[in-house]
Amino acid sequence: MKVARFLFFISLFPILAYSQQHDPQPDKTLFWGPTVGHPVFTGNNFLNHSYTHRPSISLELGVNIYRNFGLSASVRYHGAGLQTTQYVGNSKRGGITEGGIFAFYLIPISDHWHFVPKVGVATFHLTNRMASDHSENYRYTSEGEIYLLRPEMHYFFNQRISLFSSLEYGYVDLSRIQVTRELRHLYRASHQFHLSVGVRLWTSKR
Amino acid sequence: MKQPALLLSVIFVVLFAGCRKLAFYGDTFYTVRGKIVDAANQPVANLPLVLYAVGAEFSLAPPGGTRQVRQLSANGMTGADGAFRLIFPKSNGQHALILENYQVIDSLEGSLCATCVEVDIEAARDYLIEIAPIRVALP
Repeated sequence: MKVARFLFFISLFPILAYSQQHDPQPDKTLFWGPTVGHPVFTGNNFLNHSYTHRPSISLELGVNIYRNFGLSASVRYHGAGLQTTQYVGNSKRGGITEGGIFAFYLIPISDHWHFVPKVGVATFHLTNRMASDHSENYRYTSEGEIYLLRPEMHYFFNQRISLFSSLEYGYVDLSRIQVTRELRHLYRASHQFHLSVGVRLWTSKR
Repeated sequence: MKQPALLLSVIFVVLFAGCRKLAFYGDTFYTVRGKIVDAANQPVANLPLVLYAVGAEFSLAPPGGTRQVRQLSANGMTGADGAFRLIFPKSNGQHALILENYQVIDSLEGSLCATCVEVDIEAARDYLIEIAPIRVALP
């Protein structure tokens, strides 16, 4: 997974270098807004085998750091139903919380359309609530990291409000989970696709 | 007057310190594997199995004091050959495999009750607990 981290940080440099040469934009611009989406896990892993997919909700706050290059932070939550408890013990439902940072570059296509590619890394917290026959509600949390590629297409209604859609890919690194050797391939990693739509409010003219 | 208060404080701290709340940890999943056979050493198929984590908790609610709590950690069923495999999250309690409707008549594992065998995660090798065949009979 060190390779993925290395590639992630290496990928930031061309974006920064490119942004320093193009599209001068001296003003700082803040943006924030909510997003709703729907995740899908794929691959031969316990996330895909165990959980059903529920809609997600997230909040993001970002700022341009230099010209069209910027950084943002977001938190996202999505619930997960259980289709089998074979791999996760006696869980009745799960919930996934992701908190991450993104580097992005804003590419104007026309007055109304902007393309915003983002790369990011986030923490991945999967909390399982256990089915209980008494009042105590036990839970346990599995943790990992998720590496994200999120191309967004924004439509600006005016200078301050945009609506966007994205199809995100995430590589979920779960290698911190300890299991027996014969099951390790199921708990190592997962792939996540996330279809989202959202609204962003911008503080100033881009 | 100070000595009784001090003594009560010490007792209170010891009671709480000695009764850790039952907790589960999603960073580790254990696998318990074994086989259920009957008195004639024939495999017992489709036998429901439940694995509990058992702990002790201190409660101030009436009647108060320490009480035993148990939480179902995993459940499953034996296959046609009597074999089973259960995956469960790590906990800080003891673990017991309960065989519904059957009594354990022979097992190398420790027994916490007539219908259960102890699953000792301290004996796990590479997060795998291999249990020798468990002989059971209808009560």
